[in-house]
Amino acid sequence: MMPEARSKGRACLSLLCLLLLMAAGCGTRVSIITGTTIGLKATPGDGSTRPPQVTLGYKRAEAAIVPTKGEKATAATDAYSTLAAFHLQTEWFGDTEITSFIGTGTAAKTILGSGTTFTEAFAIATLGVVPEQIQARRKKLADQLKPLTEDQAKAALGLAGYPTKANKSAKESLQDGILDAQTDAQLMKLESAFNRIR
Amino acid sequence: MSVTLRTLDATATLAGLQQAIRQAEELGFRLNSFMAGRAGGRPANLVTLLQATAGVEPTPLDLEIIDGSLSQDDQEARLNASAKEIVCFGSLYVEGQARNVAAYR
Repeated sequence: MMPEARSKGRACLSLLCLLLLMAAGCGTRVSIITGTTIGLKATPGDGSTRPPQVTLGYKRAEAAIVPTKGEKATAATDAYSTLAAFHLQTEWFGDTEITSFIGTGTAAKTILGSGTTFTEAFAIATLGVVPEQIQARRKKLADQLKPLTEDQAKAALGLAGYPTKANKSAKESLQDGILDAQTDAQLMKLESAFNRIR
Repeated sequence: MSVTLRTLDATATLAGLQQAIRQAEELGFRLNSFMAGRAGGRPANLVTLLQATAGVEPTPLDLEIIDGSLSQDDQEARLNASAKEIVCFGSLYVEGQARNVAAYR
């Protein structure tokens, strides 16, 4: 097929899809289309000349065809509302989580209200199970923490970029930092700080 | 001795919750208490850990679900049935469901 003919073919196909979608919208159902593309690139630095770099690319498209039939919505028949939610959580050099949610009709409205299942989702866990390899490195740091003086712990906190927590000593704050280090990147920061205060 | 407050995965299994606490204890923390409460306005498994940067590592702790449909006296009997020492008894979300949980050592 010649390029021009192929282009016309694509245009016809797009028009046909649009007509099909419009026809679907004339029925009794709601049509919602959502698409999200995310690109993540994280490059660790070399520790001297090249700093760590992170790049995030995000593209999102949504469409909804909602039949109204000229009737007002009621609690029982509402079809006007659509909801598409997308959640991305990344630690750049660690874990990345993606959650997508779609709701239509009355559910899309009520789901955002207080006391609903959506808003009553559990709090994010801050203490979880880590792989044995990560745990071994954390245990090594915990052992190295024991003989440290308060001044050494304060210096290590500073080098790792962690603050001394309210109503806690530097040593206790550093111990919390070890507990919260659940990725390779987080551990590398602490390991580097411990090595530099020796 | 300061307290560290953390949240455990409310959808995790009992074994998963137990492993998370055990790993924290290997870093010098000691389990103090846990409860199915709220954090940031949302239901959460709250756990308090005592910070101990010195001393010997404790023996691994075990978590056990105590059937909430049992009477008060029957639950008490279950708690005293273990040969191990009880650390605390409270509620935790286990796989999303609030359960009575005992921690033994």
